[in-house]
Amino acid sequence: MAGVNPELEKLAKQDYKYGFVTDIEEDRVAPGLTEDVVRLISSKKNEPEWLLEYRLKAYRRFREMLQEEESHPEWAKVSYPRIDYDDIVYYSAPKQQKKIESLDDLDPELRETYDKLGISLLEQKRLNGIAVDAVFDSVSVATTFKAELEKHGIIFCSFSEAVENHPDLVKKYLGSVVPYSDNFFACLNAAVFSDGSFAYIPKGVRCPMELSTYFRINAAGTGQFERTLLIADDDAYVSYLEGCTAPQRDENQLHAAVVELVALDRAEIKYSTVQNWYPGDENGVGGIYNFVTKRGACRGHKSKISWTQVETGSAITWKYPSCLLIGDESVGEFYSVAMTNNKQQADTGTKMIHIGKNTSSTIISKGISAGHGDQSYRGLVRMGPKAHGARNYSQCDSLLMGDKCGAHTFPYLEASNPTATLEHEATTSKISDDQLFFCRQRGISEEDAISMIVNGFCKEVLRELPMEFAVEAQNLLSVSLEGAVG
Amino acid sequence: MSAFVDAIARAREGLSDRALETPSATLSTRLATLRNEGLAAFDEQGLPNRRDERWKGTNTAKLADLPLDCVGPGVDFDEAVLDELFVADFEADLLFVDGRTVRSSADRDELPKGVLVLSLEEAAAEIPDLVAEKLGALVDLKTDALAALNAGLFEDVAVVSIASNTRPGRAIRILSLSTSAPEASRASFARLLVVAGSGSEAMVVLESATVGQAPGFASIVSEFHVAENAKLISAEIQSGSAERVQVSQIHAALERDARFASNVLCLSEGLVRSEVDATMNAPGGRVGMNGLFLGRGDSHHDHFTTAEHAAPHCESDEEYRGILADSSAGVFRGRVLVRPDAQKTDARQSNPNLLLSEGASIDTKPQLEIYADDVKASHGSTIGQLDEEALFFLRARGIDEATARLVLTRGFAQTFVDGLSDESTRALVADRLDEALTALETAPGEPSA
Repeated sequence: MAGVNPELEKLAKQDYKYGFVTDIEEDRVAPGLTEDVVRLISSKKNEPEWLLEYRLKAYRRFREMLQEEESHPEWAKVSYPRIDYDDIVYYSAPKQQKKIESLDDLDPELRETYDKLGISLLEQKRLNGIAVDAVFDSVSVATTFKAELEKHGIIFCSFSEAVENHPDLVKKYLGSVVPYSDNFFACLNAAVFSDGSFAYIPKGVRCPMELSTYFRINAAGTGQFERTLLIADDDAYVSYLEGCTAPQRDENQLHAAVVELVALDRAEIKYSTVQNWYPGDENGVGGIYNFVTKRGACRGHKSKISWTQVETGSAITWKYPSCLLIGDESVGEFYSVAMTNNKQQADTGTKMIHIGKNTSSTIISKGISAGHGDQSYRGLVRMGPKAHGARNYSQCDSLLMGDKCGAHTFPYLEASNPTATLEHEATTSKISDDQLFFCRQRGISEEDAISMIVNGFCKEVLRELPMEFAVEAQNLLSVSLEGAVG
Repeated sequence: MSAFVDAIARAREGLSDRALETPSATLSTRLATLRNEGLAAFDEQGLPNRRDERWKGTNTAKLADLPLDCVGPGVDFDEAVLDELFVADFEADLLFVDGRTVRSSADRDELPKGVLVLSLEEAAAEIPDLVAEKLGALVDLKTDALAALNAGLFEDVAVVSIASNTRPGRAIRILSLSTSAPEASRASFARLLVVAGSGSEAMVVLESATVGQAPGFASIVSEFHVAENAKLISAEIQSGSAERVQVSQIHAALERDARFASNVLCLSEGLVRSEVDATMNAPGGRVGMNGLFLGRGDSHHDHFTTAEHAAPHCESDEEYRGILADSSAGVFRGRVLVRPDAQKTDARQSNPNLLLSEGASIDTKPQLEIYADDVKASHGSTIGQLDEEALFFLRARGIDEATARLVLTRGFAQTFVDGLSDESTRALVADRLDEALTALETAPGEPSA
């Protein structure tokens, strides 16, 4: 039906609009993973001894894992050839002559890149009131609004700066939520992470603006291994946004990030992601392998962590933003829209581990699969023996477009407390012909109708996004989707 | 090597070829192939363990460490023992003990017209070609170690054949007992083959029970071939003592417009692995899967079901209910697989669970794997406890707490019982269930509401 529609054809063939490469001088190490590379990364960043030790411990464990057949994460429902970890550049940084004092000193070409992405730092600064930390390849290049934040005692800076200026905080929390030995990719990240964002919201402070990080992989043959650490102290609140893009290349690039969140008593963290890494072309050539470990610990009484993600990019997504609900009455939330088109694969979901009393969690996951896309929701809800009165509600819906795609649901529900209550439902269906006909009859073009129906399908998740992101996410969905219906 | 694998290896040395010799050359060849391929496949795979996603919920150490003295059927079985068992009320058309037929319908003329219930020996004389064609056809030995082991070691088969366009009018009943004694703990391998001819309508009830409290292992593999327009209902009642490991694997294949419904009631106090796997091979197939498992003591029930939609215009509907008391554990894995081109599929699945006490646990994983687009598929799973308000309602009317809890638990289970269309089977199931539930509510260690 849509195959003959020229408008749709055009949209379907629409290029990845963020696929440009920025030509700037970069400082990179030779490909390969050795102890020397780990030491080199550490020394380039002038890291203290304890951090080097941490990296080396992780490096050694990773070497072991490479040998152990069972440590390779091959349980996920995605397929790709084994990665040669000795063929990746583990450190690549835009070369800068001197330390930048203000945004005006930023490399103009770099600035242009961000302008193309539509996140002009200056614009953002003036108009949006969002503080942005931008990570280019592996290095954090600029953090806006720092002074403003400092007034409230909020620390928001690149990871390296945090190591330099706030070593106690970093030392206390780094690896406390995702230990270096947690899983294959987290272990790799712990050994070679180069930069990322760090934020600390002190007691009782409600962060006055949204914090944001923009990630971009630029250089060829590199991997990006950033690390984000967010701590909300007692009664603090922060909303954090994360966006990602990468240039178009016909090789696969690895992105293995780790995000750790810590919420103390009555603190709340809202973490939103719009992930739009290059997904590869329609034949599945190229694209980013997005293997990310994200986990938040609700350590405090009545603390809350909320994950919202819109996943439209990446050749392969392997990602389970999770909540450890340790504090009594803590709350975990997970809202997700995942979209796979062409040959994209995604295995994504969440883990809600209920440990404290009266903890509650909500999972809303919407999957859209089109073309040859293949995606799975994989989520764990575990109610421990001490999680009295724990509650969970999960809903996972999948929308199928075309007869070559796949949509799968693998919920793992485990309860070992008789007062725990758990509900899970999942549905899978296609866009009904009736709905389409209804819209078409009222003069709405087919692609608008589909876009409308899909946006309606995702509404519960999109409304959780901050305003700026919600608009971007809706557009992304329309671009990624239309033309996929046959 | 584990105790279990050791015992199996010892038993294999003593395996005789006698069981493979039948008057029919075709059937003999088939039996020999099954044995050889089964044993080879088991050697290749070994015992399943938790690293296999299909076994994630169950610790198979209990199976691996089973102290076994003998494998296969013993010498004699005194039918008088039957009178003392709780299954005495079960009037079986065929009695299986440790995987060997002790009594079959050849001794009786009570079977409905068009129905045959035979031991392997009898079947070899009467319908050898049918058995050779169908036996083992639905089991994939390469990926299923326990089915492979069964294929390698079974000695006898209960064969049920229902002629085309017949309606027996009453359920066909098979009783399978597995014995084990302190000095002679036993592993046994039983097998059931049911062939329903086109347009037939029948019900097969299988009751598996254990004799003796000693540790032991019992495996039963059942195959149901449902031809065009046939309607076949199976009901299985599993009970066993605390030290037993029981594995039941049901495989069903449906042809065009066929219907198959499996009902599994699991009351065992030991470790149970129960699998139901139904494949709709042609359009119009309909599968129903109902289950009720009642965990008590330290029992561990692992239910693994697969509804495979391999053709368009098929329907599957599944409901497994779990009641977990004491420190029992329940595992449910429900898989709905929709193959490419199985358009217009309608698949429903639900798994409500009731946790009755501290220490009880449930691990459930309903899963949808869908490769076609024009489908409707849904699943739901809940874990909860008895409704406080409903309890209060009953208490306020002067009903004591134990009775009130029993009433509500029975209500939760009743859906399963009501789903059985055959009256005598429904009564039998209700009896067995009631007995277990009553014992449950008076058991010590009940938490107060």
